[in-house]
Amino acid sequence: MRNVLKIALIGFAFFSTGTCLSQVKYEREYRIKKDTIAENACVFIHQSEFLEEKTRVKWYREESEDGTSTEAKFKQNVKRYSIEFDETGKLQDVELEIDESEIPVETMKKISVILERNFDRWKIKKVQRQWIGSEIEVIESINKEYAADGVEENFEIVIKGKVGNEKNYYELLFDQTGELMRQQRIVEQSSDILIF
Amino acid sequence: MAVLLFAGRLSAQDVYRFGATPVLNLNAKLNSNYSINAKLDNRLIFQTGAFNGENLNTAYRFERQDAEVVLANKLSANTKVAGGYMIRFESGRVIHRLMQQVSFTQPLSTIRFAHRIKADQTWDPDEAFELRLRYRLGAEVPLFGTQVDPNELYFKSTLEYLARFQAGFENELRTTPTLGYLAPNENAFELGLEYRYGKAFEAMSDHGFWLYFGYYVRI
Repeated sequence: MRNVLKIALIGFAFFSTGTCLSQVKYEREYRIKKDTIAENACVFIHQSEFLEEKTRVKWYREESEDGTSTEAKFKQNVKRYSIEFDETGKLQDVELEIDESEIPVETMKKISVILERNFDRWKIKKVQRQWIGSEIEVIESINKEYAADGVEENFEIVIKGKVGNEKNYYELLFDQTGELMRQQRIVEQSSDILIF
Repeated sequence: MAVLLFAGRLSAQDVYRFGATPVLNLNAKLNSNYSINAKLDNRLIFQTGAFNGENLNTAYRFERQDAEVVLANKLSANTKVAGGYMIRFESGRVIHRLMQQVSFTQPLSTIRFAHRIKADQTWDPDEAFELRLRYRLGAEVPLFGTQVDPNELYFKSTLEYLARFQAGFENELRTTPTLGYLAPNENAFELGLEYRYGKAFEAMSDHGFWLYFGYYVRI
C-alpha cells in the first residue's frame, strides 16, 4: 500500500510539472534504524572524525519525486546538518542550516530580485547552505564551516509566497552567484487536524 | 502536565462528569483558498458526582449532539480565517452558536504548532446570551519522522483557555492529549482524553473527563 501511494504521489508530482512555478515537491521522510543503512554512509558519518563525541545522529529515509535516499541529521555547534546519500551509500550533498544574513550580499541581492519577480509577496522561512563535492572536500568543508576548494556551494531557500491567488510554501535552489536552479511548490500536510 | 496542574486545585466539593465524546470531522477543499469543515460531536455520560462522594449517578445517558459547519479562507500559506455555525440538540432544547476564528500553523523541524484565536456567541432558550473568547495552542509530533506522513502515528495535544461572559465571568481550561494515526488515504483517527476544567479557580469548580474518539475525513 505504501508503494502504491508513493508511486501515485510521485506520478502526480511528475505529471503536474509544466512551468518552473508549477513544479511540486513531495517529500516523505521517516526514521530508520542504523542497521538498515548502506555501509558506506555509516562509515562516512562515523569514521570521518567531524562528529564530536556528544553529537547524536538520526537516520532518515527520504522518498521524493527524485527517488529514495538516506539522510543523516545532526546538530553540532548550534548548527543543523543534513547529509544525504543515495541508496548505495554514495554521498550526494551536505546541507547546513544558516541565517539569511550569512548569504553573501551580492548573491542575496540577486536572489531578492528573482523572488520579487516570481512572487507578489514572499518571506524567507529557512535557508540552507548546500555543499556538493568529493568526500574529502566535504569533510574539509564541515570542519572549516565554509566551502572548501572544489566544493559546489548552493543555497536552498524555503519561503512563504503568494502568486496571484495561490498562497503556499516554496523551495528554491540558487547557485553561489544567485542564479535560480530550481523552484518547487511544497506539498504541505493538511492543517485541519490541528485547527478543528 | 496541565492535567496535574489543574487537578492540584481539586476540592472535595468540586463536581465531575465522566464520559465519552466521539467526533466526526469532515474537511473538503473547495478551491486553492477556501475549504469547508463539518463536524458532528456527540457526548455520552457514564458517571457524574462530587469528589466527596455525594450525588453519585452512574446511569448512562446521551447528553447532546452538535452539528457544525465552518467555512475557512486561506490568508497565507499558514494562516486561515474562518466563520461558522453550530446547532446543538440537548435535553429537548435547540441551541444556536456562531463562531469566528483566525488560526496559524508554525512548522518547526520535528514539531508543528497551531495557534487558534476564536470567538463564539451562543443563544440557548433556557439561558442568557453567552459570549466566549478563546485561545488554543495545538502541537503535533510525528512518531516516525520529521512530519506526519500517511500510514504513520503521531501525538497531538491541545491546550485551550476560554473566557466566558454570560450573567457573570468564568474561566475555563481544556486540554486534549491524543494519539493519532494518519491513514494512507489521509483520513485520521485519534484516541485520547479530553479534560475540561470549568469555573476554573473558583470555590466550586467542575471537571469533565471525556474519552475522545476523533475521526477526520478528507473529501
